[in-house]
Amino acid sequence: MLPNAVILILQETLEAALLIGVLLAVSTRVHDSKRWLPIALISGGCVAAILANQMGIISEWFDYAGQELLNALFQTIICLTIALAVWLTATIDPLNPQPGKVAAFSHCAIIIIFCAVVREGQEIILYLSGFIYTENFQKVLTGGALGFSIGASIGILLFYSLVDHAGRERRAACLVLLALFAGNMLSQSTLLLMQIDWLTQSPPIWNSSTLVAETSIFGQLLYALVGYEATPSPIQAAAYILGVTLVTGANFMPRYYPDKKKQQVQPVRGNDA
Amino acid sequence: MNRLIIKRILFYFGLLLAIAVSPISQAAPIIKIEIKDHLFYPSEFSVPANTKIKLLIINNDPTPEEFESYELNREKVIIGNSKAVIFIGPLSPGTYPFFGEFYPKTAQGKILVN
Repeated sequence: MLPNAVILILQETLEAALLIGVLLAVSTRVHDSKRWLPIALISGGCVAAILANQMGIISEWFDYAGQELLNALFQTIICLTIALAVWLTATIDPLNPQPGKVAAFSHCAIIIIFCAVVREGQEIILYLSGFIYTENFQKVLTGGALGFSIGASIGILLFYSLVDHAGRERRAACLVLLALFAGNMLSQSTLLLMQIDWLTQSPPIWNSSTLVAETSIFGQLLYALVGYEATPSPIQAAAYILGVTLVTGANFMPRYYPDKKKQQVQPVRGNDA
Repeated sequence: MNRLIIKRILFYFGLLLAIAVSPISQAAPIIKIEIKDHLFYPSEFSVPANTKIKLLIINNDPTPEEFESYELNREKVIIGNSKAVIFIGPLSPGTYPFFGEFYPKTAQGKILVN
């Protein structure tokens, strides 16, 4: 009972922990207050508890497709908000951060972590609820706490390894990780839509299960980090590429289309002087 | 200019979604699986290849269970004393194991596609 609880809670915690680690590293760069983290964790935890409690009713929505639709919605929101957050950070000057944009970044971070915590939190609550009146509850809780601690530690490790690097390297690493997260989220959402037959399933474009099995520790880590799938369908791969393109596009767009207001303000100041 | 580009991106994204999300009216054969005492009944069954199948999973236990299969790329929580629907396939011939993630030691099964 205990090893299963460790693995299950670790799997559920890892995704949110890694996302928090990267967003914290980004927020350090833009000198954000990081107040968004407790807000997102607490509100996400509360909503996860409510949804877990109502999951029986939610599951029956849209002819038993409610659970998938809700999770796909959260994943799509995460992907789009990551793109928005990346666009904001690309326009923020780290030496002179504009308060409005920093606040907007904080709001994006709240939405991303809130959705991630709600998604994973409801499953953890449902899992633990199954043992609440059994003699194994203590063991499961201990295992869960252990899994949670390992997941949180990996997130913290990622944060410190990111902030340890110089500005440019850190920015590039954060961008790559966030783009892969966004791709992963969009790809997973298509999988859920296939599960309820809203999207047509087609044969996988490759099968790498003999190379890296999804059940292996490395496969699990790759899944949490980059959304590794041993047998992805073409729609999943297309969604992954779309998510990655959205985030990288959001990062490079300000370079090619700089802020017009900024450009207009500068000559006026020059004339005054 | 920026707004125009964002609008265009959103338009094409919406168009892609509209094309991709096409509800299918074609009825799929239904396979009923029951969960009792953290075990799947039947735990092994055959389905035809290249056919879409609708799995109707009935959880008779009071506790939740999660139907999971890495090979099928499927994952769904089924609340205690309730039912759930999962579509699988079309699949190529082979063996596709599945398990209950909350009770993986006992809740095990496989789908034989031939």
